[in-house]
Amino acid sequence: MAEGITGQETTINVINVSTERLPELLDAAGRLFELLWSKSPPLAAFVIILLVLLPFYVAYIYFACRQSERESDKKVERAVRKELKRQGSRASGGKKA
Amino acid sequence: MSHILMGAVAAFAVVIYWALCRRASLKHRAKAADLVAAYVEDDSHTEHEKEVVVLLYKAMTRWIFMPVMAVLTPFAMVVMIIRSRDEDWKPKPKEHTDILDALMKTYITRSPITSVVCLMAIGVTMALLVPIGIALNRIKQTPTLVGVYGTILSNAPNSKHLHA
Repeated sequence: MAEGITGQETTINVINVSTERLPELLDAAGRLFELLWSKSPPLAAFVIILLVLLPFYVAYIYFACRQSERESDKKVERAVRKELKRQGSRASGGKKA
Repeated sequence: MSHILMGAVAAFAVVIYWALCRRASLKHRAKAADLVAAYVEDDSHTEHEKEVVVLLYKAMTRWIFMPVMAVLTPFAMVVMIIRSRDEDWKPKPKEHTDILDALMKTYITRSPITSVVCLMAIGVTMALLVPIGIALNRIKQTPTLVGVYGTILSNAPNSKHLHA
């Protein structure tokens, strides 16, 4: 890991991760928000609050729902693996005979 | 201030709606998984049938499934009308219908708006193509969603083994 000349570049395993454009992107996002606010303040407030709530939603989904969904998927995967094993043993049994 | 309040109420409503839908779909997903597991473990079905059912489970537990089906339904219907095979029209076994029913409930509770829009598109496609099929005397029975999905999935790449 090495610092670039400007002090805003970081090289991680040859990949150049530049942070130079970050202020520009933030500026653009700010201008977009101002434009949205001038056109429709409730919509702008909705977008901002939704962005704030999104991490909480993702955390809720991850901790409350994903476990149960993964359990269901694993049930199917276990059945498929069992079936494959059975097919394999049947095939090897067939060869012996 | 009222703008922020309106925005906040709408944002909270959207997030609560997403969370409730996702949570409500869990019991249907668990039931669908039980049915698919029982189907796969049953010796009376062929390997290809089992592959189709596992593929259906994997596909229908993803958001993109219904929009893709809405796009593919006209092609599937045209294929069904052109080749007019008995297999495409004959009623599917009860197990298939039960599995599709559970998976459909999972998808609809998880993404109600997407399903309404896509099912409407599928309905319109069928309403337009079924009379053509009947007029050409190529339709042997009213097509069902199971029949259409079965036609699409049975034409999916046929691998040699089931994939976990």
